[in-house]
Amino acid sequence: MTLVTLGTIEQALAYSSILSFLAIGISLLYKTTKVPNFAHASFATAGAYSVYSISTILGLNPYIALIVAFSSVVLMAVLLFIVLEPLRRRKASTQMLMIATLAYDILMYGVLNVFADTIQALFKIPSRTVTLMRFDFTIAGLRGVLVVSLILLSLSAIILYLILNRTYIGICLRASMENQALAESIGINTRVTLLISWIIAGGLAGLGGGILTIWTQIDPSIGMLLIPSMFCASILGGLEEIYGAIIGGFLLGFVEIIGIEVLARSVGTWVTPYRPAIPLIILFTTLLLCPKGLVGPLREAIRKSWRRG
Amino acid sequence: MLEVESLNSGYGKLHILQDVCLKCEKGEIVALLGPNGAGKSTFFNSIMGLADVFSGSVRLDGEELVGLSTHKIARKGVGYAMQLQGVFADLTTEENLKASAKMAGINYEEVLPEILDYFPDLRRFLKRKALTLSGGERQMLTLSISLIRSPKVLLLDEPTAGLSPLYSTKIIRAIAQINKSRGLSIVLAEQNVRKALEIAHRVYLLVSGRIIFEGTPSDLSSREDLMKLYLGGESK
Repeated sequence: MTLVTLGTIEQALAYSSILSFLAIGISLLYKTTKVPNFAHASFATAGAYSVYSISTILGLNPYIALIVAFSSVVLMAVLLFIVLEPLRRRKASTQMLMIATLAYDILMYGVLNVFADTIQALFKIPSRTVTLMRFDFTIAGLRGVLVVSLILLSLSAIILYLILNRTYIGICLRASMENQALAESIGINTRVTLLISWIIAGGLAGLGGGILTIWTQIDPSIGMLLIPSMFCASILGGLEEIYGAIIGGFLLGFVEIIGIEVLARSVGTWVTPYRPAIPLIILFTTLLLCPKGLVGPLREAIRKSWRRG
Repeated sequence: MLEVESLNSGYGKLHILQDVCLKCEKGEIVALLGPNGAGKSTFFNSIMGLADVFSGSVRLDGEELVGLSTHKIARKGVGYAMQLQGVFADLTTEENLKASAKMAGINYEEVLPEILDYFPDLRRFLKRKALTLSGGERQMLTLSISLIRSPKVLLLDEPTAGLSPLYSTKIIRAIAQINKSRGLSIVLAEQNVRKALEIAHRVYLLVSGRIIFEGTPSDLSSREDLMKLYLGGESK
């Protein structure tokens, strides 16, 4: 009996891409601000609803609507940056800033619920447990969302790499991530570099959320359901390792999708609702056994051997 | 040039510097000496806006710096070489220098040869990440990062801390050479009293957050009481 079908692998790839989009943002923001951003849940949901509402109301192709998702979540992220900045200036603790992101997330959850109800009332369209899967296309028997998400993720990673390593803005961004006081003392305005981090993280979360609408059913609570997986992917990749987040996203995506499929076939389908336990178990295990994630220690080992050499 | 008057500063509720006054004229090397925990780093952090200034003033060419954000103070022409953590370890040597030059609006390619004249060893490390450099090499990079911005005044916080005697001598010589060739004003906090007194024009002694002596290096050397109590008994 084949435990894993091609369809399951397709699902795992698409889900892993979505997780990677979201985990990159969490890692980038953590590296820059040292604050775990709980509002990433709302960012993903906002991206999903941007694509859903634009495509359903205006009849726009959902893949083109991803541009709207990117832009709208960038605005949300900038708004959160504006909220957090006075706290940061007053030297608020990491815990305080983390709670502020959680408060913003709860507020946005309410706003997104109101938004869902409003579009339903105004445009007579369903707005809960909805999907745009029917608008998807196929290439060589593969779902379009799989191909597009992988291409977009690869492009995003390459562009991010080029920005961070080949531009002055990127060098300043990396400098600020490492040591804000030193960055300021050489004339870098860290407020601007922080803002750039929020823009990038927000935009990527918007894309991830937008793709989510084409891949599966969405609801205003979809972000909250995904938050353990987002953080797990990020921590698995090393939390401060931006590209490690992609590795973490794919590791977790595959374990989650294939794991539950294998369990369902071998133990029984009753196990399926317990899928959210998988990222939580991996999260706890990683924090207990390898708190720096998988990519961090590997990089350290390479560095040490390089120094010895 | 740099004038600090009645500076009271610290971190949060912790009051460290009390009524500190210091002047550094153009082309002068001013040594700020004192035992560990005297407040030397806090003094620099206060000038750079990295510590809380409770009262007093810091002026550069008559322009008030207190209240400005750190990056604005840096852009006004204050270079700061932090103690031990003055480089971005994850950036290459070249990226460290490029970022600093760019932020000062200076063409990196144009000024690099001059920096390499002061620190020729850096040429070999331009493409290497700063975390792979030795302590001495990192310190050279720290100084270069501050210097490449062509500051009006350079604040050096214990540039020889943790270095071998060979590197310490190299760094102190380079500081003297930079001061001479560029006419750059330098405020130098240094644990190595003998070396600092060799190159300084004037000296301040900071103890428990207060300036207790101001004068020339020879004045300080003749004060055996201060030298013994606070500076480990070293004298010329």
